[in-house]
Amino acid sequence: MSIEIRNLQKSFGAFTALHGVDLDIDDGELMALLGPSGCGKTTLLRMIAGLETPDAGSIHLHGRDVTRLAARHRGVGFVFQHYALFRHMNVFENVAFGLRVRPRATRPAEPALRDKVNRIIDLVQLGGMAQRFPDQLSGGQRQRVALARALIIEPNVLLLDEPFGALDAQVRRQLRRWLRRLHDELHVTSVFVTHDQDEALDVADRIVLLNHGQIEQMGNASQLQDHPNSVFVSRFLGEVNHLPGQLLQGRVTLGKTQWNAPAGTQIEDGSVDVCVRPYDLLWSAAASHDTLTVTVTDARWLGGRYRIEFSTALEGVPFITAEWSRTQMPDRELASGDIVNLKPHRFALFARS
Amino acid sequence: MNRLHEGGRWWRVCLIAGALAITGLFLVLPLAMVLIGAISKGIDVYLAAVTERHALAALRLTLTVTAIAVPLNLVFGVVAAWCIAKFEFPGRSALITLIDLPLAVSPVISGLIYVLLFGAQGVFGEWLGEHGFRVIFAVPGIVLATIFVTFPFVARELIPVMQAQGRDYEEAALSLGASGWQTFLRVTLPNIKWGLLYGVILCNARAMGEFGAVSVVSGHIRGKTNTLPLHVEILYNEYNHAAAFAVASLLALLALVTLVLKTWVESKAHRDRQAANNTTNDEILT
Repeated sequence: MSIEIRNLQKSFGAFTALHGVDLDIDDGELMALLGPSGCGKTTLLRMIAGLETPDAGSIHLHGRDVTRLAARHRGVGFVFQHYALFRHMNVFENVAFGLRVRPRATRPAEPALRDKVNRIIDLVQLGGMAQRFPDQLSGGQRQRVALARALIIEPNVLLLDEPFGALDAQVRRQLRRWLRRLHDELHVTSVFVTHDQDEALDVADRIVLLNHGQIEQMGNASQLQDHPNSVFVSRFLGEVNHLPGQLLQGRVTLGKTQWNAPAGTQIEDGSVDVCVRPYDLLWSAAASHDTLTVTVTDARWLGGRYRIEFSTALEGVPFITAEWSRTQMPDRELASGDIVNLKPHRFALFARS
Repeated sequence: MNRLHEGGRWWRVCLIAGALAITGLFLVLPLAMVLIGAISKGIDVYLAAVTERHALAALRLTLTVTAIAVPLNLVFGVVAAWCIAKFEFPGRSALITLIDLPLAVSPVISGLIYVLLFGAQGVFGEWLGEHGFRVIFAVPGIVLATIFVTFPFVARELIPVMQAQGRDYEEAALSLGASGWQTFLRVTLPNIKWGLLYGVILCNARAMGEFGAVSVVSGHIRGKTNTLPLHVEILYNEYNHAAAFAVASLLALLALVTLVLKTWVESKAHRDRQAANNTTNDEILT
C-alpha cells in the first residue's frame, strides 16, 4: 500500500475541511480526488504532502508514519495548480532544483546531474527548451516543467493539484491523455485533485468523491456512474434526470407509468428519487404501462450524438433529456411537439429524505 | 488627431510648464542655492570647510551610523516582512501597525524615548552608568535612534511584494527537499531582490539625513557625536554660512547618489519585467 490515511481531520477556524477521512491508495495507482469546491479535496492532498498539518488522524507513506514529518523529508512530488515555477530560473535549473538542494553526500556530481535533468526534460517532451524561462513557455509547457521538477526527486508519491485547471479546453484534453500514458510508463503512485468529473473519469483508475469533508463514494468510473450510492454522487458524475416516484413492492410508480425496481433494491417502500442518465433513456414505438409519454421541445445534433429535450406531464419535472446516437434515434426526424414514449434501460433509486 | 487631443494641447503645455515651474522653484532652486552658497566664498573656503577636522569626523560618524543601521534594518525588515506575508499568527495586524509606528511619531519623540530609557535619569540609566556604558550623548544612542526612525522602510517595501507572490514558491521548494534557509536564499530572495534593494536605498537615505531623533540623543559634541546634518546646523547657527553650505553640499551629494541608484534600480526592475513579457509574446506567436 502506498498511502494509508486513517481518520484524518482538519478545521480552519469554524470551518471543518475534513471530518475523519479513511483512504487507502495502492502502489502504482492513479487516483482522482473529485468534489465540488470546499469539499476538502485540496486540503487532503496538501496534508499528504505535508504542507498542512492534520488536527487528528494519521498518514502512512509506504508503511512509514509521516503524520508529523516535515514536507521536505517526505519525498513527495507536488505539482501546484499554477505550477509555482521559479521565474528567475530557466527550465533546466527549475528541474534541477530538487537535486541541487540535496546535502552534499547524496547530491549527484555535475555531469550526472546534467544527464539526469536532461533525461527528465526529454521525458516530458521539452528537449531544446532547457534554456528558456517560465515566462517564455505556454501553459501546457509550464505544466510539464512542473511535472518534470516533481519527478526528478523520484518521489514515492506524485500529487497534482488541479493539474489541468489553468489550461484551455483543447490543451487540457491532450495533456490528460499524455499524463495517463506517462503514468502507465512510470507507475508512480499518483493522486490528483479535480472538480471536473470528465477529467476524473478520463484519467483516473479510481475516483474518490468527496463532499463536505467526507468521502461520499469511491470506485472506478463505471461503479460510480452506474451504481451511485446517493443522489449527490449520481448528480455529480454527469447529467442525470431526476424524477420523484413511489416505491411499492418492487415497483416504482411515476404518474401513470410503472417500472420494475432494479434487482437488489434494498430501499423501503415509500417516496423515492429515480435517477436516469440521459443515455439510459430509450424510446419505444408503442405506449404501454411501462413507458413515459413525453413531448419533444428541442432536438440537437452535438456531433456524435443527439441531445433531445422533452417536456413531461409529471409533477415537479418540467423537462427531461435523452442522448442518443444516430442509430438509436427513431426512424423519423424529431421535431418540436412530437410525442415520444420513453423507457429507461437502467436507473438508480434513492429513498427520499 | 481627434479634437479632444487638439483642444488639449494648450492645457498640456500649461500643465507641463506649471509642473516644471513648481519643481524648479521648490526642488531645483534650493539645491542650486546650496551649491552656490557652498562655493560663494571661493573654492579654497569650500575645500577648507569640507576637509576641516570636525566636518570629516561628522562625515565618518554619519557613514558609521548608516553602516550599522541599514544592515540591521535590512535583516529586521526581511524577517518582519517574511513573518507578516507568509504566515498567519495571532498579533499579525498588531505587528503591521507597530512597524508603521516610527513613521507616525515625530522624530523628536523617537529621540526622547531613548533619552527616557537610557538617559542618566532614565529607566536603565542608573544600571548603565554603574557599568560604564554611555548610550545617550554617545554613538550608541545615535545608532539606536537612527534604527528606530528607519525601521519601516525595508519591511514596508517588502510586505506587498511578498504578499503578492503568495506561498506557492516556498512550498514548492520545501516539497522538493529544500531546507528553510535554502528556500530563502534560492527562491524567496531572488523574487524580492528589487523591492529589497529599493527599500534599502530609501532606508539609507533616511539614515544619512535623519536630524530630529539624532539631535535629541546626540548632545552635539563636536568631533564626537555630531553627524553631518547636526554639523550643518551648528555651522549655520554660528553664522558660518559658507561652511554650512559646503558641508550641506556633501549631504546633497550623498542624496543625489542615492537618487541615481534608486532610479537605476527602478528602471532595471521595470526592464526585467518588460523583457520577460516581450519574450513571452514572441514565443507564443511563433
